[in-house]
Amino acid sequence: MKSERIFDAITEINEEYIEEAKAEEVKRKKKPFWKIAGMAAAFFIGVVALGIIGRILLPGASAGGGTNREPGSDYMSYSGPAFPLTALEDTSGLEFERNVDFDFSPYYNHQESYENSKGEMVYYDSWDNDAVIRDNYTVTNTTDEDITFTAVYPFAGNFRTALSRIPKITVDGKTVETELKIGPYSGGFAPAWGDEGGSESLNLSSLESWDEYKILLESGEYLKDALAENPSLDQEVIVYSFGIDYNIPMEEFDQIENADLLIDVNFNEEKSGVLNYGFNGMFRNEEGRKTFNTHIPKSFSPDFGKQKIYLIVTGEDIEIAEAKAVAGMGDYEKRPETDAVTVTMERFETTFGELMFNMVDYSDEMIKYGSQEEATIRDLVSSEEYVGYVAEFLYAHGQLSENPAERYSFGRLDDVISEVGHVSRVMYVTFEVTVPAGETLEIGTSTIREASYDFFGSREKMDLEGFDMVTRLGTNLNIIKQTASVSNTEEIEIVYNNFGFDLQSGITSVLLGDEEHYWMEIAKIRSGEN
Amino acid sequence: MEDAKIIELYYARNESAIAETERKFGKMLFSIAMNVLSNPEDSEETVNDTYGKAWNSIPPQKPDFLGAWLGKITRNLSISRWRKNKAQKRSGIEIMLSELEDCVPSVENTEEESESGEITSAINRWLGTLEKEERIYFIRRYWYGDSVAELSARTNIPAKKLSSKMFRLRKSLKEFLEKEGISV
Repeated sequence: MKSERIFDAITEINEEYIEEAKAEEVKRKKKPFWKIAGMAAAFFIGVVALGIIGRILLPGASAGGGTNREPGSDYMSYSGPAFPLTALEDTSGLEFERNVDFDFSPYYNHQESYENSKGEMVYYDSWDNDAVIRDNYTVTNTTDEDITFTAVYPFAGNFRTALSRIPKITVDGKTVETELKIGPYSGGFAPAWGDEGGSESLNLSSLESWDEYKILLESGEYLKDALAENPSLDQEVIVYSFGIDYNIPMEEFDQIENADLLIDVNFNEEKSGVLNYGFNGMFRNEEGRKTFNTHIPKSFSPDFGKQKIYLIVTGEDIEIAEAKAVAGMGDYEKRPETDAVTVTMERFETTFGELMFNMVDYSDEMIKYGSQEEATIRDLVSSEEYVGYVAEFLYAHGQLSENPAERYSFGRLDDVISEVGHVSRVMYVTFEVTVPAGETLEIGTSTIREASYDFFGSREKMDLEGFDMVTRLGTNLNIIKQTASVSNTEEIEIVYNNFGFDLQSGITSVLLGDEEHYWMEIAKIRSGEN
Repeated sequence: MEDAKIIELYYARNESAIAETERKFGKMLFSIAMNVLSNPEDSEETVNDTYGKAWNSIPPQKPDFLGAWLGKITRNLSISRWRKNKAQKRSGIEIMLSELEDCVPSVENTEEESESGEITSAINRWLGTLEKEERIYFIRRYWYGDSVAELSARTNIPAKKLSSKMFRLRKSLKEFLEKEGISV
């Protein structure tokens, strides 16, 4: 067949074109979106907007690195700086001295192994691109009364990585119990195709430099949001729940090609909002109505027996024009209906929150099939708490927002539930400290921090990794002296920094000046290079 | 995780590179394979083979576009596997091939077939002449293997309208290849 040669030739087309057509970046035609009356959650929309504004106002803030980037500036993957400790109350009468130590022991080589396709164990040298940041404070009470305050220590992260990166806190060498407070999404949204996309909000856009964190945190509103209760989802919704009854043995059904469920709905988009869960896609049928589609699981599918498929209606009820199963090749609408399964439908009314809990709980079940890292979300927050963060996200950016990001305009709740676990945030550990009158105590924090990274490198050096700290951002403490140090540096070289470190001259500890931001860019010394 | 960070993990020979690749691109690669093979087991194996090839190729390679680079590997592996089991029923690739028959140029007085690289170059030039939206539709259909229905759902353009757009694009490619003297 001659077309095979064209098909083969298409495989090798320019990667820029392939990238341009990536699934998540295909532009959707804008559709009016029905908004749920009276459900604005302005208190944190404003804060998140700050992040977005920051990206627009700061020169070069969204450049994302590149060969001309200045060291210590923006990164393609920015882990965020080490933030200073702060307090919820006024701490007049207390003086703080701070030392931040960057411990590079994770960069030491260690052996790892994997089993190759022949079943042989392969051993190789590996190392972690992390530093242990010990941000310690000597606190002196200069008054003649005991002073108790709630200490708050911030760190940047997300649900999936937080558990392994929560700072460990000690007071006078003893580990103390802390409470975790989680802030909203710290980034914004960006066009799918760079500047020409204008104000499009199709892609997530995480913070890439410390200046952007400055804009996010300096007013203190973000911390307030992190400490506040998440919004509830008590609005009534109508739910259409779809199920599948298999009419033939599964070994026969497993042989059927492309069995899909099609739900054809008829509604007035000005009067009803339709959110969906468990669907793979949606298209306009020939009559212009929306048809939602999803696969029907086979016995080997991970979601077999667990699939939940919902249409969630806010506002006026909708008409389910048709619910059917089709199978075979070709466009959905041309495929013949199959009687291998029977589609069942149940209509019920509930609150959005209760339904969401059901969905999140189900997602947690799915997490069991994911990686260990994903499973840690379950250890970090309960399903109830996760629903709260989903609600917060829905009000700020999703389908319940007055100005939803285009990224969520399809109404797929699965996307939001999953996204909440991925997006970057600033989190806080809080703990209570009492400093006796006239005495001094030590507060120790220890955090594993991954390097910030710019793949293209800066200047002549590739493979540079960044670590940084801020001296004043977000703190109300009276910090009278700040020092910084580096330790376990045998496996790294410091290529650029503004701390004043010089490993060759043995300068590993420095007194910090008036800068708001101190940074270093390091490189791993690889075998044979040192 | 950013593509660059994943590539860095490959360079560090850190096995989480595979897990991160799977997390970010697994679904896309599986759908590319399924669109050619129409068989979940074969597709899964093909995707796993893709990870193996990536592990063996990075370093020294540093793909500019990791997703597209992985997708090419999956697509090539899928086509090879499809050619090996020709006894299959009408699968996704056969539908695409039958549509692409519309693009086969009828060039007179050409005895030799053009090299595959020449055909690719010509297709790249033709893609460059298209409006971005049309280029994306073509690549989604014939590179990623999206069905017209899937593409319709993704773009909110009725399937019928998309089908006729695809038909016009195939004709346009045929004319372009003919003008360029390409023979297949």
